[in-house]
Amino acid sequence: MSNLEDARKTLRDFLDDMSALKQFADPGNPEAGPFVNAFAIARQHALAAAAVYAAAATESD
Amino acid sequence: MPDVVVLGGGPAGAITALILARAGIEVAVVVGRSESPERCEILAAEGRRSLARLGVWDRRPAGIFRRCETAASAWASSTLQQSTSITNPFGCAWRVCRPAFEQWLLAEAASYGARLVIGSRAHSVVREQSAWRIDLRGDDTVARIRAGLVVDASGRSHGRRHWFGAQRSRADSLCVVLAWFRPRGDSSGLLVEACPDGWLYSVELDEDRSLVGFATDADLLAGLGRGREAVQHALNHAAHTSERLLSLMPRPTTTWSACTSTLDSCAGEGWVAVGDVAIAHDPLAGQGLLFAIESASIGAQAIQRHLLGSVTALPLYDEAVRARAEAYLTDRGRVYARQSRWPDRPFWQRRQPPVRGAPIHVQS
Repeated sequence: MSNLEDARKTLRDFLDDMSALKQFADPGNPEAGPFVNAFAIARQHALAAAAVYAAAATESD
Repeated sequence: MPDVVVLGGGPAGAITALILARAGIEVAVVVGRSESPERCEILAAEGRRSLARLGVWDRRPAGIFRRCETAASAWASSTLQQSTSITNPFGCAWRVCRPAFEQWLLAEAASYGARLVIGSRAHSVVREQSAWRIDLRGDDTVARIRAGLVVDASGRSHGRRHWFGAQRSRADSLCVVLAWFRPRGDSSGLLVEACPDGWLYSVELDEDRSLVGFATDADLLAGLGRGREAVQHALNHAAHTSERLLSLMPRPTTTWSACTSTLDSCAGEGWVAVGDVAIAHDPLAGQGLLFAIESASIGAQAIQRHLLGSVTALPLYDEAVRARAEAYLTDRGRVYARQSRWPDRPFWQRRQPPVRGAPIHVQS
């Protein structure tokens, strides 16, 4: 796979992770549940993956 | 060959199997002969929402969950601090009959097609090319099973070395001696009380019996006479708990390990750890069952995405659990540090934050 395809897949995966973990995120109650930060971790990774994807897309132009 | 084998039939293992089976994934659960002694555990109020999210709360059999509307503690001082569920947006906590809870969840998993392998334990787990070979042993049986992915839900009793190469760190050697007592009055609410050699909790188990647990370090227990004698020793220094007791029942006490431990890695190539094996919580935190439910829920979702080709799902699960472990250890240290009434007693000395420049005490 090319760098662009790799970056696209990683970004897609993190977005799917965010989607799955969203139900555990409860911004109204920061004490809710042991995994309240899991969504935030996935979001951080998705933002970083988006930057990598954008750079790969620029390179491939 | 099942897609996934779950080692352990406690709450975390059963819920993982339930979610995977419901998603159409072939899953087998290896269930030991007896996963849990009779005991009552507290499920934090948020646990109800987690079980409702799984779609099982409304199907719960009668008698497994009993409301725990109040909690009281004499921790930082001898004065009793009361709290009620009325201020909690998630409602009240629940007293859970642990063995019945496990059996119910396993039955739910089986109803969705999970295969239960009952009466066996994993003797060895070995990676062979792209699959795991698991050798099982029961009382009179030997069996072999293969799977592409293994879920370790073997609980806190798992040894220091982990099958998948992860290292376990133990923060203490806490153990709990459980004794049954006849209550003097209403003991339905949870009571936690610190004493010189540890702390006590007490709660009603059913209509006739209540339970008192004495938590102390394993090495200190030997000097306290073990069993009933140790509980009695603790009660002599715990006025509020003693007040609840009419008498200790003649039934034998049970002792179980309640140490805090974490794994340095909770997921890897073809494996995932959920529940107590990933983070074994101090019972003081009241988070063990909630973590079992939520780590199983998030872990099972990660497995589903992994099987669909996600490269991020398992590493992200690992990171989320390790972040959770770090936060938990910080919280635990903070709670123990608040109790400073017996600074010269070993149990509390070991749990105080280190003084700058002082040697660090490391427990083996």
